[in-house]
Amino acid sequence: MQLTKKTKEKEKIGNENNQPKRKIRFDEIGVLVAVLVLGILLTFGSQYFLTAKNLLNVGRQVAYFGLLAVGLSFVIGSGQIDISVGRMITLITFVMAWLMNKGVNPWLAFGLGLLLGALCGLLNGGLTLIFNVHPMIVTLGTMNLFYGLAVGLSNAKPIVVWQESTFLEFGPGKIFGIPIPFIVFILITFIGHVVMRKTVFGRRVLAVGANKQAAVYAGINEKKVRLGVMVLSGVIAAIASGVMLSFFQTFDPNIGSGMEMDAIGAAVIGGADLNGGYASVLGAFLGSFLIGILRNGLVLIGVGAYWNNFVTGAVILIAVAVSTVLKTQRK
Amino acid sequence: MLKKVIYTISVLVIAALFLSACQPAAVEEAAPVEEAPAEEAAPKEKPFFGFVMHNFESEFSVEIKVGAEAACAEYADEVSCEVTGPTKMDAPTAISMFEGLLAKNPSGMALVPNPQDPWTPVLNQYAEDAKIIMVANGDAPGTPRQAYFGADEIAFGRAEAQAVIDAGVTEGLVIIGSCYPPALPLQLRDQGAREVFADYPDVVVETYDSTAEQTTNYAFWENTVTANPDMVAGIGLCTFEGPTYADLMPKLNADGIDFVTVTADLIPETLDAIEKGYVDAAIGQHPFLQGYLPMYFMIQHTLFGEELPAGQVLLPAEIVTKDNLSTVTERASDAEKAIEWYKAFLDENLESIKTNVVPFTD
Repeated sequence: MQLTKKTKEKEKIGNENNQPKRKIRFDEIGVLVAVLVLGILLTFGSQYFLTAKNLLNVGRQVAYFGLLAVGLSFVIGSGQIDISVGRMITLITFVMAWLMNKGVNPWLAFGLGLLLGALCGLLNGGLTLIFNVHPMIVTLGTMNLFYGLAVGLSNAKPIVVWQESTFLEFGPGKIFGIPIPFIVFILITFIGHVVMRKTVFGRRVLAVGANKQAAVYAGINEKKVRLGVMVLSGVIAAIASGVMLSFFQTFDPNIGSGMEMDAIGAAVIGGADLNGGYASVLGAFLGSFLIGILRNGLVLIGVGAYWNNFVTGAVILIAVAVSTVLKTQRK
Repeated sequence: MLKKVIYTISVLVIAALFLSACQPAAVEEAAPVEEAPAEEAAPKEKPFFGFVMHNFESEFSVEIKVGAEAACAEYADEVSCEVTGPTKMDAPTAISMFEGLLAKNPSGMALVPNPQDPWTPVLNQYAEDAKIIMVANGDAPGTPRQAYFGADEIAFGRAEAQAVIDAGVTEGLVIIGSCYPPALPLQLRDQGAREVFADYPDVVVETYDSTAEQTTNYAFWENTVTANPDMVAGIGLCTFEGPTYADLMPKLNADGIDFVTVTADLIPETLDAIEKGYVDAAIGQHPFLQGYLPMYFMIQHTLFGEELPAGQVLLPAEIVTKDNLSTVTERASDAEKAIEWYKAFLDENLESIKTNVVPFTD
């Protein structure tokens, strides 16, 4: 009896997402296999790749843009895009570093940074809804706005955080040998995955992305959902800013530059459909890892510096192409 | 049910990957030498040296790489090296690459820590793993670096400003373009230039971000001239202004606009522009040596036990105008010729470079 009830529930969720569950699993397994295959190839390519220290370093390195990819999974899943998240990091990191150097408790500064992230997301979402403009255009504008604010207010000068605080210890810190930024990334991924797959909000996000009109007819407040994911993405960008500031202990005006592209790439490799309607937080996590181990591996096997970007781009294209072909076949 | 099975398999595969990752690398499991006959023993691994650049956006950066690789090439049978870095200025990526090279158990690491601040906690954290840390092009105060190889940045800025004065400018608006204002070396150059202009009260100096990308750098100067048609001199603190002036000045001259132009680094486009009269002077800082010397000293130390320099190895600024242009055009035209030229230069100057090391004060 209980089994029948669960099966019915699953069917209901599948119908609400307009996506059969089997396809979702397939996408995640696809990127997982890609990560494993790449991992195996790199293990043969360099004896230094498959060591705990190296892989944990990669985990920490991907945490920064990986966190953004988690937030962007929601944004892309809802049929939107946010290309301002990289520069949001620049602005939020500046504000947090500036506050800390003014004597504000770093944890409080981090909290205010989260608030600022939410406000940045609210601005992106609000402008998109008010002017009914594509989020790409709005976030292109706010990307420059955030960067301009950070550079203008800082006079393009770095800010080194001199305070002593537990906040500044957690960036370089480790728990059981695992870098804390990586743990934060895993935690946020877990929470994001649960929210996306197990909550009404997550299902609504994908429903709005799949068919906005149908979602409205189904009684979903699509504006609220679209605004909500932008705010969520902003808050997660603020968490990424905190993690970066805690590790580097400095604000650099170039921080966050281009990071949105890595994050969008990770989300898309993870299966997110840029047309909306499907995204996977777990897939974005694995997509981040794919990019991370690829970059790490290219250094370890000694691929010339000039060819690094070419190989990275080629592998990302192959991963996305394979994922798209598999999805099309399923359809 | 199937979902749970697939998830469980995924978790197990990842766990297996991490557990296997915890095993020591194959090289560390090699049998002790005494247990195997000498002829069967695995060949001893060559000492490895890594070099992480800040970017590869200019020929200046490429010349540092050429220098570092030239030092390694001299000992190709005894050592292995890797020179890498992000294409664009991106400290987190550069740091990731640094960590990647550390995984290869290097005998020494060199790097260009621009911008400097994000590197500070990283270099402090990895000092032991890197064994030797050499920095080039920009210093990294507050870190356990062994030596810094680069220009005396304040003197560099002073030389640029002096070249403007020597060209006859004693009053009017002088615009300084800094391609990356947060970088400490550029701030020091700006400071040096302003020190010289301080003696000329009728000179007004303004510094702007001229960006570290060729097309936007060109746009910056084009817009600056539009906004300040009365400017009397333009100074570039970075390498990008050379190609910019080479393209921009002919167009401006055709419109009857001219001003004194001084820039940094002796790249071919700049030298060509000096010859054609579009750049009045360029200041060189021997990027080849900034790559060559850190590698050279680390290799000498590891292979032959030579003492490492401890402190700032300041390379002389090289002021090039139309009058002495021929001295640098030949070596700038060909990497092989540059290597030959620098070999001769080092034969003559290496001992004085070694003895003129300025101890760190931090």
